[in-house]
Amino acid sequence: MCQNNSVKALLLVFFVLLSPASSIASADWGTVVATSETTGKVAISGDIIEFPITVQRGHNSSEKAWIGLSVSSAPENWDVGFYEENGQILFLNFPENENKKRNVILRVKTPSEANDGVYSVWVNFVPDEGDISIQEFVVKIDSDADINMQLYSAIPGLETSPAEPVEFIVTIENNYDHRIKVNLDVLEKSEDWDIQLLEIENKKYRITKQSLEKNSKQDFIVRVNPPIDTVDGSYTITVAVTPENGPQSAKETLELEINGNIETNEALVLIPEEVNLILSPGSDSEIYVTIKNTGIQQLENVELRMQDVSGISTDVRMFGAIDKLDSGESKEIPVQISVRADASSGSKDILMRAISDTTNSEDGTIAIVVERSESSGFFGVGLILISICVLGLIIYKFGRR
Amino acid sequence: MAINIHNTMVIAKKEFIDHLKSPIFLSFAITFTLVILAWSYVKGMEVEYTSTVLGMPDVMRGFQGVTSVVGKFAPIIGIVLGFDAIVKEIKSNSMNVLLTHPLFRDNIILGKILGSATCILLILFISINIAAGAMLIVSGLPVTMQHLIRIEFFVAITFFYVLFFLALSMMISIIARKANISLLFNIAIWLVITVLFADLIFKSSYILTDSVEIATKQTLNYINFVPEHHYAALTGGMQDVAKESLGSSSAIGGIFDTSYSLSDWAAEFWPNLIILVSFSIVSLIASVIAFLKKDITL
Repeated sequence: MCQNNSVKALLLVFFVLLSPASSIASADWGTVVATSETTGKVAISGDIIEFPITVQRGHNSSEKAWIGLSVSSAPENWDVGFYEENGQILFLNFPENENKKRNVILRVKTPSEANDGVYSVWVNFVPDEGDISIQEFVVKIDSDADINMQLYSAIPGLETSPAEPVEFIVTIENNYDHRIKVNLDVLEKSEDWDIQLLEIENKKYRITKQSLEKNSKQDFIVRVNPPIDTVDGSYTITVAVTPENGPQSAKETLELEINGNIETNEALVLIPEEVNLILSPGSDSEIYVTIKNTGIQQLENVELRMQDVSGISTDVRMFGAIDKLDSGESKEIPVQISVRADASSGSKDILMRAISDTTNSEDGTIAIVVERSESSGFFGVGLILISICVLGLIIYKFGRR
Repeated sequence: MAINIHNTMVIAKKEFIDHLKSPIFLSFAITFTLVILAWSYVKGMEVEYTSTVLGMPDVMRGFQGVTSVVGKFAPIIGIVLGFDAIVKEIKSNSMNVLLTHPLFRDNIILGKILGSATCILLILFISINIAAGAMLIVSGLPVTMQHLIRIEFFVAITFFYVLFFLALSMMISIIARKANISLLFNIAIWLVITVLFADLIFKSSYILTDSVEIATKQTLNYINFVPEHHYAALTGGMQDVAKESLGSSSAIGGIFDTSYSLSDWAAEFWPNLIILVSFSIVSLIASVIAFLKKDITL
């Protein structure tokens, strides 16, 4: 088989060298002919360009035939070749009684350092009988050429509350006739926002580059974590994909509406054991605050946060956050509330909030009424009066010499 | 015997009145009251520290910090009352005049001890109760009768502690020939017993053994021989009022630790209480014997 191919190659060279006059002629007749609808393309340096070519019998014949495919001329350092499904090819054989059309690709790999300009690739189609066909394919290298990709999201606008992450699904569409590798970037976002570009399959890995088949699409996730102190309003996030060998990018702008009043707090509910406490200065009390997951999803890293007020300190007695709180599950958290000895009298509100990785509860309140103990005044005055009376009595009785 | 008691009471009354009108004693008593007042107020306000570190959640926290101050300075009341009790009488020849009356020597010394002891009790009672009362009014902390009982127990314990120094100062006053020498000796003994004793033992032991563990162990052994250790244990659950690095003597933080009942406190500290009272009684007996043996004519 290999020897047979060598013979065919020698014959092909022989025909090419000895038939210069016919090489510039068009393919008028041949046992096998090759035609291409697209013979010119625009690309950027480093691109791989593919020209589809259809090869078929030239006339109604059922005899065995073949055609040789060769590149006669190409720019320096350009990699050009013919490919079929099984790899690079030099000949195509048509067995007897076989009339089916065959699709072949002329693949041109441009060097990344190629300058802008128009380049020609000349190829020869040499049938076993008939005229040799010489075909020119033109590649225009243009660094300012529009990128032949699209980046879009079917739902580019979402609404959420602060501290609640959202996920946009964004699609990259590769319209090139060749595989392309692109860099994924976030071009625009609010300061301190955490934006993650995640793999669609398991949402586990962050993506920085993506490789796409020719004429294919690929989805990925843009996860946005707005900080808890985000002010209500509209925020934009711009993501972009840039081919590795080109300066042009495809961009998509996503809009996120932050709304603190959105009903996202249903998943976490705070139920304090007491909402009103009367304490004396210097005293303390332990109450239980129940955190319940009323949502349908498991919550992770749930913790209770309390806000101290002047004269009152709180101590949430738990070891870090609750790792996991299943749907419907609740936990009781003991909280020690201490009133300083020098706390002023009156009512003070302690704010509390339960926070998880994905959501937070509504703010809860415990009202602490600081009241001076009546017993302290009574006993204090009593002790002083007794002391003074004893002293007075002693002086009265023993004050004279 | 009835006449003897009457004579003793007359001398005690006279001694008591003399102390009450002594400007030195009065100024010291007022200073002492103010110090306790200030300390108890400051400590009472340190709610965060005392409730979290000491684990004492109520009004007694104020007195927990006061015990070391009282432990250091209350003995001076005894010294002030006793350092010239006898030597002054001898030097002014009033002792000889007194002995010409139908009085026994024991009437004189017991009367003086009784008068001075009553004065100590009065000063401690008034100063500590005024301080406690003021703190309670200002702080607004809840108080129960049990807290007041603890405060009065503290007064009683401090009384026996100071009584030891009164007896000691009287004995030195009997032995010494001049009042200023007696005062000097008393101050030296007060300094050594209440402030320096534990530190002196510790440093001496450390120099000799070059081991902190051995030095601490020996210090803890030797401080049993001074009443200050037993007072510190009873009132604050400490080993020493001056050297806090020796740590606690018990899980119970003394008379003011309301986490434990008074019966728990008594069960834990009864040996210290007996030893402290014994120190006072023994030193009182010693001073009485010293006076009975004293040659007044010399």
